[in-house]
Amino acid sequence: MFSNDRATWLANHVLPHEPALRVWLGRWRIYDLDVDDIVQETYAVLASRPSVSEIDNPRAYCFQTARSIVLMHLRRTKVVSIRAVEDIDRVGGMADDPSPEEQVSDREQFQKLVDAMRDLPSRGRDSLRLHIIEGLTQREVGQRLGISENAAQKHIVKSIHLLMNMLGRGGNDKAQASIRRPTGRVKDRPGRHGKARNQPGD
Amino acid sequence: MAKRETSQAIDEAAAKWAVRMNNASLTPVEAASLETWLNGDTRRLGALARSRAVIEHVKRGRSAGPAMHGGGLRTDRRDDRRAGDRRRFLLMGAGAVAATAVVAAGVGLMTHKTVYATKRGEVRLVPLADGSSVTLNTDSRISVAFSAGQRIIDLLQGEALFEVIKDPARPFVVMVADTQIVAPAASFVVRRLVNRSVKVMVRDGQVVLRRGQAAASQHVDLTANTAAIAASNASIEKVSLPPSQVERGLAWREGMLSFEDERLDQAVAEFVRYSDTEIVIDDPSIGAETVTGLFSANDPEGFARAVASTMKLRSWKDGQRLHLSHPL
Repeated sequence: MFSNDRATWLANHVLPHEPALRVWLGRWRIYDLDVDDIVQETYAVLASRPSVSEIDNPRAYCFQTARSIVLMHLRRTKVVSIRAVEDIDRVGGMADDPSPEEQVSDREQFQKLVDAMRDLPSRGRDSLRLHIIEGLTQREVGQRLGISENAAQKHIVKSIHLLMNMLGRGGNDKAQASIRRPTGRVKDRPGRHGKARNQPGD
Repeated sequence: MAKRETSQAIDEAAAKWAVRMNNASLTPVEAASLETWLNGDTRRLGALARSRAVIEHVKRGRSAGPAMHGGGLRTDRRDDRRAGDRRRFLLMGAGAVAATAVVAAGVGLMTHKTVYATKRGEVRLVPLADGSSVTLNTDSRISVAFSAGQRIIDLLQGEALFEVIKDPARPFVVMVADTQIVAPAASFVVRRLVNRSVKVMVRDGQVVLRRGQAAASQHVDLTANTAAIAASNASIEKVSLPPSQVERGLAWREGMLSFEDERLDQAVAEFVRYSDTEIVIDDPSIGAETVTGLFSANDPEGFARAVASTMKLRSWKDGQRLHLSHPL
């Protein structure tokens, strides 16, 4: 199991680039490529590495990791469409950081967090703030908000889940519109989050 | 064929585990159950890592503390000249998060203490609620208590660079044992090491050192490029330093140690603070030699090798110890 330091490293060096990674993966237009799956597996690889200290360009590293996971998926698929094979070749030239100049500043990252928190349902936001930011126990959060400990816990978990969707998909980033349906799937899966955001493009 | 679990379902379960792990360490039963869950699908570990990363990200709001007054983004940080853009952004960001927190709570101010610490070899920037910041050097610990009337930071151990934003209504005070450092607006370093005198070095602005009670108290004013060494025998020695030496003393922020004609034994004593590897000088006469150069704080071996080659010494390793001795 990975350490807390690794979670912090991911928060600092990978989370900020996740929206760009999703856009990049979506651009491949490979049939049946599930961007969510690739992203989760990319995090799994980064979390299980013995050390990350030698990675000096985490952004490029996580793009490369995602790419090798995509290739692995395609190899495993029994029927590989000609389209997909073409895509692999095309993708070959995109191995590196697609836009190294596109750095995410700490300020932007904070602003995204602020925006995302503002968009949480108020109960969820209060529970999350009291528990994660102010360090109250779930019981204390429940007492403070006049709800049960169990309800407080549910609000906190729900808020984290919502934030995972909002931050990972870049909040109200312009990229959002282009990654609504990144996989070329006919229908979007149910339960997609991030709807709480106001998306002018929607 | 079994229906494939959706990423969203995995994310939700992962968020639950991440929140659980954030509270306290797992019981053996929980740990076993988590392991079973993780082994079921590789995506689950990724989702768990991702949700823990999100929790860590949310925690950044913590460093801002609840004492933040006002709302919205504070962009009036012009007096933070020294700090680079990146740092200024960090400060503003932290302020913004705190502002959200206070607005969301709809409550006023409350004081509580927050402790920040670094491990050996680690450097950490802590943005404070008022826009000031503290950079902690290796193996250091501070406790921050901000209230409506004052900003108090206790340097419990180690070394820290304070960059103070002016706020006439709330004095900024760094406490180091019986010594207080009051800083209206300044950039200064305070060092508190076991069995060593407290050292204060001012880079910019000015600070006042106070020590002792009432009538017996001492006051020393320090301006930019001066340092004070407060020994345990109550004397305070004041020295002025060239700006280059002040900056050199801050090389640790970049993970470096910079020496200019420093005694080898003192340079070695510095390295001990940054890693578990100890450098042993086998002959005291070697310790009096001087060393000049910029070295990576986390690489005592590289330092020992460099010293050995320039001073024609022998460096050899014995477990966790590096020895410097005369050639055989």
